[in-house]
Amino acid sequence: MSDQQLALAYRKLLFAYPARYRAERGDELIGAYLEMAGDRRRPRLADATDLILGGLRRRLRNVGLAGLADGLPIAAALAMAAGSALAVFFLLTVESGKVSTVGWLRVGPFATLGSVVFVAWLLAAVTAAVAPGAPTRLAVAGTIGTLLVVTVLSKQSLAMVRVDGLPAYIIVPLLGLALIALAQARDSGWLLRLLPLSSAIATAVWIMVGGADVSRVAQYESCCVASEPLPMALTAAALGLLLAGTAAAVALGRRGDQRGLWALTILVPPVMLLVSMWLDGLEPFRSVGSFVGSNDISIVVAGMSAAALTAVALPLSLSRLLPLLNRRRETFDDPVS
Amino acid sequence: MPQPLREPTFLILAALAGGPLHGYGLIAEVDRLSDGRVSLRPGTLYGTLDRLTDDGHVTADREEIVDGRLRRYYRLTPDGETALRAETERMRRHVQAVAARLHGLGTTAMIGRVPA
Repeated sequence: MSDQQLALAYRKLLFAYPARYRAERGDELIGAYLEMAGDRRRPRLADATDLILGGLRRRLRNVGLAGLADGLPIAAALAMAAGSALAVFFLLTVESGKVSTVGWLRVGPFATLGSVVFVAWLLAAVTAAVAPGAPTRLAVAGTIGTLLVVTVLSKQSLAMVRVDGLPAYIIVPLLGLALIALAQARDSGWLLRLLPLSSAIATAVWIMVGGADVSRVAQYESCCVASEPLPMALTAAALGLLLAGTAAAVALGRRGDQRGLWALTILVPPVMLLVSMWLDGLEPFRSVGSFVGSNDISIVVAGMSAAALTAVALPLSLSRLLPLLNRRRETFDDPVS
Repeated sequence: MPQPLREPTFLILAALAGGPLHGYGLIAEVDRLSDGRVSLRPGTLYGTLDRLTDDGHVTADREEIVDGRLRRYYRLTPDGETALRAETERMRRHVQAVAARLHGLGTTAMIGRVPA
């Protein structure tokens, strides 16, 4: 590939940037890449990722949402911690039970194929602690892959054996958390690196000392009464996420750092997915969910509606509110001006 | 109170303290300053440069074409220099405080050691 062809390949990767930015800065960006290229013949995957993420960051900046990108690494660690806690909870309760009957697939010591997702999630949590950045993102992508495979295989028959997987009310929140966890940063500090593993260990200890009534947690089908142990576990994860996000917002906000506030904003949509059973009883989400009829799917639809609403409304509101708050703070700090 | 600069931002400002640099020059200088630990990619670099330009810490200096490639040079503004100095001073105070503690730790350990 010649220099011109390589330049053309990089130019194609600028598609994520706004057209005006491409026109103003495209040549400069490509020039920097060409100088770094050496004898490389085509862009690497890491180059494509860098340019696509750079373009998305630019677009967010153009609409006053640059803070979302800044808050993502914190949100990613917290989302992964919530998922790790849930993974341990389900592995030590439903998956360790003996509910599978003859003709149903068991996976090693675990009751359903869903256990593969939870094991993959915990492996990603370990990876986050020892190898943050690209290896962790790869591990999270693998977890998403297992989630999709388990979803496809659930309720199917493989060689005369019925496969039991995970219900939609668990798959969808886990997918939401995993998509955010994909934004794991390479240079996150020790606190964020160890958070997922710590939350998994804390959950295991809590269950082992009898914090959860394991005998009441038999199988995933105990959906969809919000007061049942499984929905309560999802609710506890949602509350934990909100509390941790609020703590980050307050702790960083005291130093004038708004990353925690943005992280909290990013975490609200998955929180909505986690508490979809409660939302199913509230308007307007009940009406939205009731369109599909079936009980467990209507719950997921209610959660997804709330997640979509908060994913758009909250960041836009925050982007309008923050400049006002900053202006007020500046006036307060410097009353003379 | 200004919030601490993130490491890549600090290193970009530090690199520009030596004089105007273009994109690739900045990447190479940040790599050198961090002993190869922080390797910026252009997409990330220009995102940070945009933010620093909006904050008034960095400004475009000049442009030139080398081997048919556009090079735009950036330089530190007075505000950028002030931010860099403030961050350096903050870090220096931290280093001093920790060094004093470690020195005390070393002395305590020496006192507590029993001769063989």
